Amino acid sequence: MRRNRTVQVSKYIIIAVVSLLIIIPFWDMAINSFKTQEESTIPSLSLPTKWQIVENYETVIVKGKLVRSFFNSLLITGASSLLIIVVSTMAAFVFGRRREKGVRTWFFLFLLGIITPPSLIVSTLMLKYMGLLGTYQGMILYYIATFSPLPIFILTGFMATVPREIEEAAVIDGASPMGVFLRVVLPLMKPAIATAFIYTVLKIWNDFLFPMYILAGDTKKYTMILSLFFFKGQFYTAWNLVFADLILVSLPVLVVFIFAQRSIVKGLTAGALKG
Amino acid sequence: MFKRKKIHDTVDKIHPMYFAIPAIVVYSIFFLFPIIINFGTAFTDWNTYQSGFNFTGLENFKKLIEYGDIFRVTKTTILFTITAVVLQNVIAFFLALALEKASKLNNFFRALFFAPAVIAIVVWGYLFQTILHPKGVLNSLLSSLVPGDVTFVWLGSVDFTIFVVAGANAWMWTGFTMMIYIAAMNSIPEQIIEAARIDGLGYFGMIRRIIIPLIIPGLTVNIIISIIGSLKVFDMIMVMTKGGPGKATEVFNTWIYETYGQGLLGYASSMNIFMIIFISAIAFPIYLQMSKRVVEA
Repeated sequence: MRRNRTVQVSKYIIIAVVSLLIIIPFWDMAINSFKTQEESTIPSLSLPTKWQIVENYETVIVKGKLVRSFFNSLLITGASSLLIIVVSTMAAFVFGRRREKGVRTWFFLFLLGIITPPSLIVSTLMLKYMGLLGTYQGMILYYIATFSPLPIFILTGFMATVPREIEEAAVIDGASPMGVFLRVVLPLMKPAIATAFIYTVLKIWNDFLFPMYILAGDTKKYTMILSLFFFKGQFYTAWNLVFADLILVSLPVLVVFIFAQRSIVKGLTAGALKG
Repeated sequence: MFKRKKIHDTVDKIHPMYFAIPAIVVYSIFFLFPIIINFGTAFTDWNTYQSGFNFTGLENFKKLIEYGDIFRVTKTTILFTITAVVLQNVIAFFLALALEKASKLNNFFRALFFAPAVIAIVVWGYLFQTILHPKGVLNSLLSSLVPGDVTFVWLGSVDFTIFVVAGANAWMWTGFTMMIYIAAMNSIPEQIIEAARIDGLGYFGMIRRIIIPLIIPGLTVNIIISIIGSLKVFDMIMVMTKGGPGKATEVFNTWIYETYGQGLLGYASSMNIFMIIFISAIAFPIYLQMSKRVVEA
């Protein structure tokens, strides 16, 4: 028994030491965002000799145009995620039930989208010819195309578990396809929809690659991540400001994570755990 | 019997194809169509300095081979992938073993280890750039542990910076991988563990003979996800090294972005199509298995 206890204690000592690997970067990021520019030239873990909190964050919010980019991120992430959920749930309603060759082929093509990288060069130029490059609509449409495969995969898997008898009963009661979808299937799919929604929100909010191609031309439409990238390019010597920007960009997701930890873990690991 | 079949026909009518049309249309136009076109543009001299383009046959691929870019970039991407996948999975496995039982303390540590995965890669990329600076946090911490001043240039080596960047990537995703291992371990029936313990199986015997064989599905998923994710890496490298020093950390996505930036669209799209085929070929067997799982459900 005593031996067991020593094992337990030493286990947690090791884990506590390992967790420093996570805590130190967070501490580093926060503490250096409170320093003056001179002191943050080489970011260190020491406390600031002169605390400069309000000034740093104010500068970043104003010069980094963070308010605007926050709302850009909100609009792009919100609209894309909602639309992805709408089209994916509707597609899953078909893919989860019908077994004909044509339907299966489409489902397989969507699965391909989970692993296959997109053709960004051609897509970008195509958006340009369509007049959609550097627009919210273009970005949102592109996100729907590239990020719907996994939600379709998750939701189709879930749709297959919805009992047919419930649908049959609704049909006998005279429900239309839309009626069955909205009143019978949708309420049952809520948990899977929540998971898929969280997945898309986090992926799109944090995405960097696609906006680099599609939105980089227009500063007014920068997402938070893009604004951070270009802010760093401009203020690369002022680490205190860059760090304040890092904090502000991370804050929205971090706050949500603290309050909705369980759902977020579930959402992010969705593709892995529930097929 | 007859009646039953009739109801099924009606149920098929209840799931008309047009429900899938919005997803199919957007996906076809913005994902599938560009890939198909890409098979054509890869064989052109399409660029931003001239209007129109000419088909140049295998010219782009000849160039990719002659300059060695295709080999160099593929090799770098594979080195990055192997390093990240191994580090991430080994550490995550042992963390999962330690934190597998649900308790307040364990849940706290799980959340802490998972936290990096919710924040943008770009954020961590910049942070690690300063931490790994010769006078940065890592070297000064090392200096306090070993005699002398450590002034190691982590991000300046042609030979090993790719491993450092892969390490940063693994750091970020270890908690994510750990969660999947924990879920897999929790699905092992308690009786099996108990029986093995009664049979006198030691700690490592338990890991080798019971735990690993029983979490194979979770392990497979973890390896697949980390391989696919690592082969597609962009953010971490773009932010930490921009492919440097020199071209030492250039991977598929950063090479393509760079070449696109130079206006060489046909050339960039030839590498793009190579990357699409390369990654799909690696992931295809896995993808078939995944789809079977849903269809059989």
